Amino acid sequence: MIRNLASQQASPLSSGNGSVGHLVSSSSRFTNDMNVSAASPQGKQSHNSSFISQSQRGGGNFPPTHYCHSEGHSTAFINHSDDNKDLSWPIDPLQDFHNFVENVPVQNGQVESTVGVIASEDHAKRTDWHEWADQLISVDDELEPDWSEILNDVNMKDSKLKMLSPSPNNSVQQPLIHQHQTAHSGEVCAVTNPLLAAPPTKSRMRWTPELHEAFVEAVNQLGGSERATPKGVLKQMNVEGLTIYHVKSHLQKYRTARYKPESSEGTSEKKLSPVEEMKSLDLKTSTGISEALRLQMEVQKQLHEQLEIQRNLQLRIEEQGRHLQEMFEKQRKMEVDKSKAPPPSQNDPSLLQSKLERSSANDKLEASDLDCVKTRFDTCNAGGLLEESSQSISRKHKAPEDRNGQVVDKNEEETSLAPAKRPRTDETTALSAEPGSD
Amino acid sequence: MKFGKRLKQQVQETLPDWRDKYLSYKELKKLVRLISSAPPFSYGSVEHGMAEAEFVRLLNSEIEKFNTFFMEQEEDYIIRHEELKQRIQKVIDTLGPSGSQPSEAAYKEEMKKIRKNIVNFHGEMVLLENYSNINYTGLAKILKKYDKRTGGLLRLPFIQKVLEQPFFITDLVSKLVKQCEYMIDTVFPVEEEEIMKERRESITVAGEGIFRNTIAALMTMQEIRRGSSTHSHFSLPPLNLPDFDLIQSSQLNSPIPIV
Repeated sequence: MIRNLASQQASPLSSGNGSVGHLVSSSSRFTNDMNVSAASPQGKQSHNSSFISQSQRGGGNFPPTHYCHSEGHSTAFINHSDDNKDLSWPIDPLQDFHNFVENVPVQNGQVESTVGVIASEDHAKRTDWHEWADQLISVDDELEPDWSEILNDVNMKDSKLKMLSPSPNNSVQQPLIHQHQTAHSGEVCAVTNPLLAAPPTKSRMRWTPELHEAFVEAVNQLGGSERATPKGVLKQMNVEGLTIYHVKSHLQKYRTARYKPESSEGTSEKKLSPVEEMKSLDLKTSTGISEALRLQMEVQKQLHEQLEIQRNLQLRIEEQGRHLQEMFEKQRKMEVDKSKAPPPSQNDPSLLQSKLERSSANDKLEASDLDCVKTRFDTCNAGGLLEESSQSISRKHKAPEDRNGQVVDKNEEETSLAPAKRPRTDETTALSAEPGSD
Repeated sequence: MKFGKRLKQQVQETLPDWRDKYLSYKELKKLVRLISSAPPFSYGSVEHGMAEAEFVRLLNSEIEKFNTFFMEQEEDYIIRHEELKQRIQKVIDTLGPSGSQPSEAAYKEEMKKIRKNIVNFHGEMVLLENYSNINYTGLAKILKKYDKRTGGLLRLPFIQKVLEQPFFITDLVSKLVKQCEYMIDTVFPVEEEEIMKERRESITVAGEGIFRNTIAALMTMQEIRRGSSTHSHFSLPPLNLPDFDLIQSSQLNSPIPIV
């Protein structure tokens, strides 16, 4: 899809409506691209720059200062889509655009779900003109004041006409350039899913406390959460990669949090029925609550701790597995290159090799050395919990075990390792010395 | 099989809004079965290929789902955390002893409410950590199943990528959790006489939903790690909870007085 766009851009700029119409009519595709580009400014830098340079070649209708005005380009875009007969859109652009703004309910949730819908590969084909329009409209609620802003701006005057008349590449490029233009340092990271082979989905902003702090500051400078507008806050914050969508949704959350302060159970909680609530209030004395709360806190603390431990263990296990896999691969390569009876030149390859002789399956190799991880983890784990657990493994499992923490399961993978257990004790220490594994 | 049931339990017990955000474990298992039953070559190759593609597609979309939900919640928590801090400060500044309109009664009243809020907020964040973890566990398990059933080597590289996903990187939430604990400890030191009084009175469990959830999560965690037939070196050791009896007795169905 992006390729199509690029090739269309390559065609002569002055071809006017023809190429533009083409671009616009493939609204589903384009929309996807627009979101994609909006979504991952870092990922699509190359495209952005090519668009920018083309717009400059095309006569520089838009001096750089315009790029920040999203509503400007939205209108321009819509205007110019008027020319496209594929879309049923009112002829008088400005007038009806305003009407449309008023009539269409603006919901943040809608925006987000729309964006999500549009951006996902499977849904690209179902993208609706309306959905896309909603999205543009919800970009800026306060359209009217900003129009006067635009009209008054001296720089804009000469290009105002150009903005309103069909100017293919510029309007098309606006969204993309907008992302590129907010080139200021910040703690923004647009997150894209590396696993997806398809074009990345909408950029999810991962907020941080620092970024939020900057947000709050900007809001306060603009007169508070009620008075601040997404556009204003965005400008004030001056953070690279931050889009108006991000700010808008964050502002909404912020407003909700302020005017509906932390309810007793949180917003997503199931509430006690009124009767139950009263009863429990009567029963509770002022100190009674504290005990229940303290108990609750204790349990929560424990769960948190357990989760942390579990997570770290999971990380370590996989890390070790990967490391071993790499070593295994290296070893394999070495063997392929060398003759059939490679002389062991270092300690480690020989250890691996001897293991190879004993067990050919990769799993087994990983499995055996993961014992080492666990053992080391057990011993260096400050909390007594894991050691406790490993002791309970010794008690619970009937399988024979070598020493504390090292369990040989009845698992078929293990059987071939049984004879290997004792010699491995030495290997444990050798492998522990491996760089990369701490 | 056991994990599937456990997961289902967790989902049932979880906060209502979260119910559809968990891993579609059953669905994925079905696909694995489909893949392993359709032979990769000759007659079954089309089905096999399709099922496999669907499996990978579903995996990716699930991960995306986790990421989106997790970061959404995380964003909420950042905002709420800051607001809580502001609120505490405000109460201290107005109703506190050195405030603009000092009033011990009002101050105590407000602080009580805030304390409850902090505890519930803390709980919710911990539950998000749990959410992350249980979904990770599910992914790890299903990938292991896939490798085992189909002889593929999908697990290792895939799980590496999962480890880098936003929903698994819970550092920030963890930090917020610790900050809440700190907040509670410093702003609300426990007084001696309070403890004495508490022992003599029967109380009901506050924060029912979140508390219940937390207990359920701990129990589930223990169950999952009890050790299964396929326990291997990639498996976690069984969980030994220090206050197991206490926790078990706390597993309640409805507000029940704790004596």
